[in-house]
Amino acid sequence: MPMLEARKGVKIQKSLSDRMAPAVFLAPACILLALVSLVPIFYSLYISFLKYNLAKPISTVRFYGLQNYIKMLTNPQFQDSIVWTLTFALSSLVLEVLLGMILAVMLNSERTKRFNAPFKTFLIIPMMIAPVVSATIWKLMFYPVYGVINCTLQLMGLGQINWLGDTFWAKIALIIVDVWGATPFCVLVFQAALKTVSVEMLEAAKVDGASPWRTYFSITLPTIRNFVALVVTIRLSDALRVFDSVMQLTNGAPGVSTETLGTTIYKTAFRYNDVGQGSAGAFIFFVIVSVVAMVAMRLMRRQET
Amino acid sequence: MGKRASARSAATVMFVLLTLLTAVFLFPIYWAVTMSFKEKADILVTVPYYFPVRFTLANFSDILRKSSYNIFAYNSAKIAVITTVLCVIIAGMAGFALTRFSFKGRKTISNGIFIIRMVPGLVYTVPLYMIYNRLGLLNSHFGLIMAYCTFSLPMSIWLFLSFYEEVPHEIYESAVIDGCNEYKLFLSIALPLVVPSISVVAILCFIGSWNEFGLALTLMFKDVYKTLPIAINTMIQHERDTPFGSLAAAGTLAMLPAIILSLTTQKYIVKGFTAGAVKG
Repeated sequence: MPMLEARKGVKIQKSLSDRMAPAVFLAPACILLALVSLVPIFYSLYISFLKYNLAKPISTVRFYGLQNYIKMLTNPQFQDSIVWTLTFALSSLVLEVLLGMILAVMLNSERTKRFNAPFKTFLIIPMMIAPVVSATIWKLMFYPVYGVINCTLQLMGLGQINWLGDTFWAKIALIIVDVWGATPFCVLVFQAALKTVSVEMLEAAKVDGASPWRTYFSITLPTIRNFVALVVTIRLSDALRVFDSVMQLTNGAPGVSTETLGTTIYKTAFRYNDVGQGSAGAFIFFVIVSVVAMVAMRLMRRQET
Repeated sequence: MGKRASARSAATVMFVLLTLLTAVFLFPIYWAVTMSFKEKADILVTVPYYFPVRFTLANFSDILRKSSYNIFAYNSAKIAVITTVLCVIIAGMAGFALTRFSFKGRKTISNGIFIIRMVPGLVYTVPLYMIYNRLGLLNSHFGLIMAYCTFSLPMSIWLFLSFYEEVPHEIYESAVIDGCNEYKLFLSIALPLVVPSISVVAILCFIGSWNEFGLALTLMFKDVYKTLPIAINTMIQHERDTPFGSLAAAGTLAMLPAIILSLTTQKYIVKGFTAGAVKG
């Protein structure tokens, strides 16, 4: 206590109510998060060790050890959904980052300064729309006979595509919907990133006769490397969580070929009422998302010192 | 001379490219909105009307009459507004405490909030369903609002942290010397300084809860309590013939806040998403 007094010697002695201030300001947030976040997480962890089916009488609930985790991990459909979810996340990610970067570079270019404002505004909209709604709109567009995409393909003399009935095309459709909704986010962050690149360096490169490509890869990209790492990490962990658009667009069909980690776990818990296994799946899911995000961050940021 | 011409042609190429890409990105929205005003006969055609030829409100009156979309829209708005107000107040206080004071456990609390922010919403569905079932909170908007705090509150606190950090500490110190206590400091100095940031947090909270699907799907299954995303999901699952016009109308209704906010508050949205991303 004396030491504390000595250190704070210069400061005015605080009243009791002021000393309580941090606790008062933080209490609502901490209590609320403890109740709605921590309690459910630990309760779910507990359930994940139980054999617990909501459709069966409560007397059948019993301790199950790691069985839920083992069953989930050895379930071939769950394994398939891991592969598909990773494929989905990686392909969407690559397309979003590429497209986002191209758009951001164009919007940030000196040459588009006079007219780029409306483009910047319009390109935000897809990001703000609910994934369920955008999946609905795309579903109407992907429709086999009356859908505008197939009709247009037909008019152009190309063949029609069985978008949601064919496994391959259903997967492509899901990727398209994700790219549509998430590219604007990449554009936004990349635009902010490009503003951090030193104008003097770019000018100097130009004077030295470096081509725009050379300038981009030798100056711009290394400068914004950490922003790219950030976008990759955020987009990857979001894409791995994909749920809304799958439920709405394909609902896992054809067969179970487009079931993602999210929908598989959701259906285990709520369609088959196996909340024990569903909880176990949710924690496996959490681990996968966190590990992939951390690995991505490490890999992308490695060269930074 | 030749250089200037090539610069101009590069600008033209970029203009054309940007126009094309933006058109591709806007087309689905355009298509849904125009479809919602089309006659059924103009929708179910194999040579599509890219530009609408007739105008009708039948699709909107259909969804209001047949499936009470006014109630779903009201539910969505009510839940989004209350979640937003709650999160702005609570996160505004918490963010102030975490940047203004240094105390034992501060680091633990901000790390905890960061970790909670990483937890996928799916993790909450099972335990919240079971807890709410026992407490009678299923099909209760209060319950859903509490559930939305699991993602809105950590995000809001995180955003507020970066905004409060921009406030110079000298301002606080001089107020304290003038005899200002911490509560007055918060209300009359800190909060007014971050007002623009409050709009940023509010917009992201509002749109996050307006758009939310997974938790609402699990926790609200009685018709009168549903929100718009769930109602649209029900519509596509239950009807055998896809009701194109009604779905387009429902989608248009659900997109309205997103479109209005994007067009009017672009600056705040950009700030929110970049601050949230860069900070995270």
